[in-house]
Amino acid sequence: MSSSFNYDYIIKYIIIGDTGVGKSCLLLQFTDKRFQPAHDLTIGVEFGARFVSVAGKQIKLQIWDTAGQESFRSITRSYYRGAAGALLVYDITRRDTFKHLTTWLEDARQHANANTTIMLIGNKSDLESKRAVSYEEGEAFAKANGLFFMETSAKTSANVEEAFVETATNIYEKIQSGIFDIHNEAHGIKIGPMHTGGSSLPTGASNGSGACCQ
Amino acid sequence: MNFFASGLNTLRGQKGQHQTGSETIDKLCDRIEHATLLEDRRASVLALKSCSREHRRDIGARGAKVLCKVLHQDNADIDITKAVLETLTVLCQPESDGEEAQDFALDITKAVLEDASNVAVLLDMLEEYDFYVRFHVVSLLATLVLSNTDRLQECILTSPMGISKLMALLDDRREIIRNEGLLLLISLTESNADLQKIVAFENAFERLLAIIDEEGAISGGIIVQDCLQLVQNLLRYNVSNQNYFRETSCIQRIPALFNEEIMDDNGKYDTSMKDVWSDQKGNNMIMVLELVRVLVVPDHSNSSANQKSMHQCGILQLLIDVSLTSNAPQRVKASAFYALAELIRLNKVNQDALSKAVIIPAHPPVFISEAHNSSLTPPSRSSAQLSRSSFQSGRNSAIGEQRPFEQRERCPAIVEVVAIAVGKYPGCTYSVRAAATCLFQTFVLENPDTQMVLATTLNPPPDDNPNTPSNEKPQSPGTLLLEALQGWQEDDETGSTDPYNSWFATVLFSHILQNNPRAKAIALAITFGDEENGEDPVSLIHAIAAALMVAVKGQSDVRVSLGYLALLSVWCYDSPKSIKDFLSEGVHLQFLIELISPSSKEDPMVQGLAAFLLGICYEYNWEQDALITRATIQPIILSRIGLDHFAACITRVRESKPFKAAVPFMVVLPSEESGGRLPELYFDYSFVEFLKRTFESTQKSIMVSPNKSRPLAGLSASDQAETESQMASMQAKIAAQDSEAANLKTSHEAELASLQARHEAEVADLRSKLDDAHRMLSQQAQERWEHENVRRELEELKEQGRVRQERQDALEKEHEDLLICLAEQDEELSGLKEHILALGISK
Repeated sequence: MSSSFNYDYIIKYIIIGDTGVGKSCLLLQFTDKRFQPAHDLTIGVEFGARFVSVAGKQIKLQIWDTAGQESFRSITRSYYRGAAGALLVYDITRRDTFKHLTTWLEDARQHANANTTIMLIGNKSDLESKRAVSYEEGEAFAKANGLFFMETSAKTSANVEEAFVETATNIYEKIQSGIFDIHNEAHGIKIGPMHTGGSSLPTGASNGSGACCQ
Repeated sequence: MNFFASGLNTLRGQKGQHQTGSETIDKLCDRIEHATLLEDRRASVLALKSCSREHRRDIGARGAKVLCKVLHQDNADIDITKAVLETLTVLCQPESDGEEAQDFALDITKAVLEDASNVAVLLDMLEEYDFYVRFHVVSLLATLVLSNTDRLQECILTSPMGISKLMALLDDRREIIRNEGLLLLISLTESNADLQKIVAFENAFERLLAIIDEEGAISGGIIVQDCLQLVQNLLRYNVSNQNYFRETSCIQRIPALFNEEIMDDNGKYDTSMKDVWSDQKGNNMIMVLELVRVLVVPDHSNSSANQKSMHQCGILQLLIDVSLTSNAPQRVKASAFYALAELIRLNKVNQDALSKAVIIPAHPPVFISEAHNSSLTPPSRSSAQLSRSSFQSGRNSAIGEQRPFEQRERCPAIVEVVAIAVGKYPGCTYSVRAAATCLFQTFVLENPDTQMVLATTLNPPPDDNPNTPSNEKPQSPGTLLLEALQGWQEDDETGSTDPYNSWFATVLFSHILQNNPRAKAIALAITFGDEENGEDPVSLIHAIAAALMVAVKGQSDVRVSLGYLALLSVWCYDSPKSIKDFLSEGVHLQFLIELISPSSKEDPMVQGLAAFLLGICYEYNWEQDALITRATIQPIILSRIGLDHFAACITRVRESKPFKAAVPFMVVLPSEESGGRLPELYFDYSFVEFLKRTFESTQKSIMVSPNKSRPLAGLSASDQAETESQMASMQAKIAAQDSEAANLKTSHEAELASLQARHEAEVADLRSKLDDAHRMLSQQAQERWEHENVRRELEELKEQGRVRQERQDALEKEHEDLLICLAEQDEELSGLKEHILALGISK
């Protein structure tokens, strides 16, 4: 319990991409360390959270997993601007999900904060035999659009942790270099009560509420 | 002043002739639509606005659409924008409550909302800082949401930044706008989960909790209530938001909401307002309590995690304080009891926390006017004349003189809960008592140990050391119950005619006994009457039966009889020993039969429960040495009552209104008890469920021969059915587990097999390699050995050769020697020959 107080930053993520590429499974693998092969279709958005440690700082990731279906697109757009990180996911075994990246990226560019870190993720890397998009293609697309890139497998958990942490690392660097205005929560970052220096929260409040949970 | 002139001209008509309203409106709309100059459009809009109330029907849907167009076109002009917004607001508001007026407003709303971009434009306008623009946009949206919530929600969802802009209203320093925005958000989030999530995503919890803090938590104004309402809207039935709420440590911020200490000018905490409860403060507190309840609704996947967090951050204790030790209004206390009930429901840790809680009760001690004469009259066993003494004689029951308004002694929280429920405090409303009963129910729910502990408290606690100054008699839940079980009889003494004192006591008592054979055994062992004083001991179950008979014969409120009958049914159900004890007094059976018999004039509900109890007494009458056996009861039911009438009795109670009206969480609405009326509370829901679950088998069991042996050791036929269903479900569970285990096993086996196979393959591989190596090694060894042999042979051969050589040499030498010898002999021979010859010649 008390751990939920001890964070330096809260960072908001969204996960976007076509339906069925494994967005919810990535989140589940990251938050619960398990894989659920028959995951229900996400309706609207779902929330998940986990701590990661970056450069010795405790960072709480709040992740909103969005529905990939076209019908939910208007709803999910509302989440772009408030997020500091976005995982844009495609399925390496389905070429069409790769083709749609352009549309997703346009959406993100239009609605998200300009400083939002976008990580391109080619998911289902365990299905090598069914591969329809090569690693090089993914990498090239990412490079051309200024995105980070990784291939992951929500099933085997390969690179899942890394994808979330690397995104957090990049955002943390942006915070350090002052690109993000950490006092404007609309940018998807919140400074924690135990963060020393620059915190606008009165320390007394956090101490008081922390004490009762020990 | 161009627009005044033009407006006037329009109204007058170009040639000054009189125009009808609709013609004028048409003209104005045309102008708004087609005029090229902004001033002209503005003048026409203002003119339209000025006649919008009188001529709303003429303006109609067309006008609304034209006005919306202006919003897109001219929103840079604040004056025209304000006028359009005001006009649209007027048009969308129904002018009266009439159906026609409502329909008209709906049509206009529909016209405005037809195009989602109209809403988008309104939301964009919220970027404008001008007070009136912001205010009118919010007013218009608030009007639209009332008429057509669904469509407005849809429209807002199509605007990616829409919610974000609405949320910005909460940060507006101008309170009117902030408050109106809050109300708008409340209306929008009532039903739409998507909107709820986006609002939460926009840091709603943080912002709202901050506003509540700023406004002074529960001592704040109505704005606090509104903020709490919005928080609740976001959480109710929304798992994702509840996760978010918990993950962002918002549960830990709930305790601060109870806090009402206001810092005064000197930096000191002012606690003087702590005991002052304004209506608003009561409302705010109820909202906080509701918030707690929303997070722990029964059977919800999040509830158990939330229960844990709440206990850890001290909410449980705060709820105990509000409900039991504060001087909060009764409606607040009732709310606190319900919240507490759900906080401990099916949660062992929280139930234990409540059982350990000790409090100083808020209620002043009850002042007993008349000194109790601790009557020691021996109760009569054979009549219905048992009075209060049957419960109290020999138990030193006198509560004793107490001085009012003194500091109360500390007592266990649960004792106070029981005291409130059973009507120990005359001022308590039925709402509060029903709520306290609910709490008691979840306190013992699926908690047999607690049931046992409570059953043992039926024995009175020891008196305090007489030297202590306490004037209060120590009380236990059990003794309070026993006292209350005959509370209705106090009529003539105290003037109280409250049937609910005993009714609530029977409900609480039922919860202690329900499905708990050990608790029943303890209750069964309790007797009254001091044998040393020559009194006949009377068991508790007889005392209750006697009280029932007095109630029925004394024509007391039907609730009293229903309560006792329900309690006896729960007690006797599946408990042959209890039945044996109950029926050991012949008059009890007689009484039940009289109640049910077709000629009885009793209330149908009482008859129904009596039939149910009698059925149970037959169904579970398995004690060997019982005074009244199954063989005695069955013919009585079949002949004197008749099976049809018996079944009809039970059906009538099931179909009675109060029976059907029972709800899971016992609630008494304040309106129900206004004007000194008794609420319509006749049955506890868990009893209703119990009866529904069991009556059928009880009814059927009557037909089973009395001689038929007990179906299963320790089980009756009807119970068997239940057990069977339980067993079936258990079996299903076991089967599921089995299959799971089997699955695991097969998967394990497969894994094992594959491992083994691999292992074996590896071993085989290794072995073959080893063999090879062996072979090679042995080959090499062989070779070496052979090599050695050859060498040895060779050496031997050499040796042999050498020996042979030597021998040859020797032979050769011998040969030579022999040759020499031969030659010598030859020589000698020839010498001899010559000699002979010489000799011969000579001869």
